[in-house]
Amino acid sequence: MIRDDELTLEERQVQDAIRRLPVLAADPSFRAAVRDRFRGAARRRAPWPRWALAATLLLVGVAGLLRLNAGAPWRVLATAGEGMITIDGAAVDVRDRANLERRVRPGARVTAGGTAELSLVSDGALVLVVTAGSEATLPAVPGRWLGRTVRATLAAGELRGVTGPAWAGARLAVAMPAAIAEVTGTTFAAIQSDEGSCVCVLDGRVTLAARGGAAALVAPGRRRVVATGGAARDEGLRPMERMKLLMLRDQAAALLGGARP
Amino acid sequence: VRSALTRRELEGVRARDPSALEAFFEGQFDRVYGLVARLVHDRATAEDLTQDVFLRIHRAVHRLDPERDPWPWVATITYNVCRDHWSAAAERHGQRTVSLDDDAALAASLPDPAAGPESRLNALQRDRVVQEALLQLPEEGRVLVLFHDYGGLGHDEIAAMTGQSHAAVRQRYRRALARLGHLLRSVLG
Repeated sequence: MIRDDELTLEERQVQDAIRRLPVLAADPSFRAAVRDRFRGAARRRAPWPRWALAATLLLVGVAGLLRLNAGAPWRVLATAGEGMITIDGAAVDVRDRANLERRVRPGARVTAGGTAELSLVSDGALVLVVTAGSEATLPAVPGRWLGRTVRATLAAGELRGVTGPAWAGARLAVAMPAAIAEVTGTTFAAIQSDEGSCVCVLDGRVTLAARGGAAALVAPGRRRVVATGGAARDEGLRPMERMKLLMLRDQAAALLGGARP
Repeated sequence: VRSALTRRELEGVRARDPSALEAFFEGQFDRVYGLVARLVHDRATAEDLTQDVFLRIHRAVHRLDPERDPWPWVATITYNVCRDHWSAAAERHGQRTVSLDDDAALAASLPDPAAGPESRLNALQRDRVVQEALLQLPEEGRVLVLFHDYGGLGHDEIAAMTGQSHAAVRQRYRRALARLGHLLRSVLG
């Protein structure tokens, strides 16, 4: 602050003249409009209650985690044969790959009619073939950390599968009418036919449990059948089954990359 | 006149409580508008700038310090809004901002200093003449005089607001007073 005695008389007179200037009043309607906006903006922008903010952050976090956890989605790898593939009740020509691609999803009910065959892949994790004449429910894709056990059903026909590096530690349960196969990294086929529920193992580890019975390990190169009545038998792979699984394993090797877990 | 709001009310302003905001508005609006209107002396511009000041206050209100008188903070926002307005206007019109350090002659549209006492003006005319003289000052000088003598800020607060040293503010303030004294010689005393 400059003391008054430092100023000249003229400067003090100027100060006085400025200080005596009247306050200029705003137009009342303008003043009211600014006040309303100032208050109204506050109402619109009021900070969220802490609990709502915390809940939102939690939801965003969980959603982000689920997104990160999600494995590669199913996509159509190849189709073969002729006929219709029915997915969730919609019949699609096996040659209409784009349409099939749109409809394939975890939990979809798939029926392969005629000689049509549908091969699916979840990159790095699993190649799954729904063979002609099969009726199956597609499994979910295993998550990276959570939801590592997935489930498929096979009412009729044959599912062939090969697991890849991203499968490590995941499990696939294939529920058939007479038995449940549990796959933990392998090349396998699950077959439902007149003789019962069967699993064929080229390599890796698979167990087969009769409905209400104990699980039995099926060794590589073996097949195990559980008849509808519950009787089980263990035998060597049939040559045709071995050949089909070998071919699938070779085809899938380049696609899935690395060694199978 | 400093803020009449209590610390608790200012905390309510920070929390954007509508009633606290309204009290804050009532305490600040007239000073802001009055100051802006004196600085730009054009009603439409003053309204635009005042509106902008309150918009900026609202955006930044969480930074308000409830321990302190809010007027210097509000005045700083007011100054920034006016400064931005002048910069934009200067850019639009190819003008430059005139400093008090410049020696450009002030326009001589005011009464002749040599006129006698009989020509002294009544109060209303006197206010108008003082306002005219203020508008003859470069913007920087107008800011220093009006924020100090009309807005009630100390030189230290103006120094913090404008980013100048305290000594520079004092020196330029005195220079502005001297020029106003010269311009207003005919109507003073």
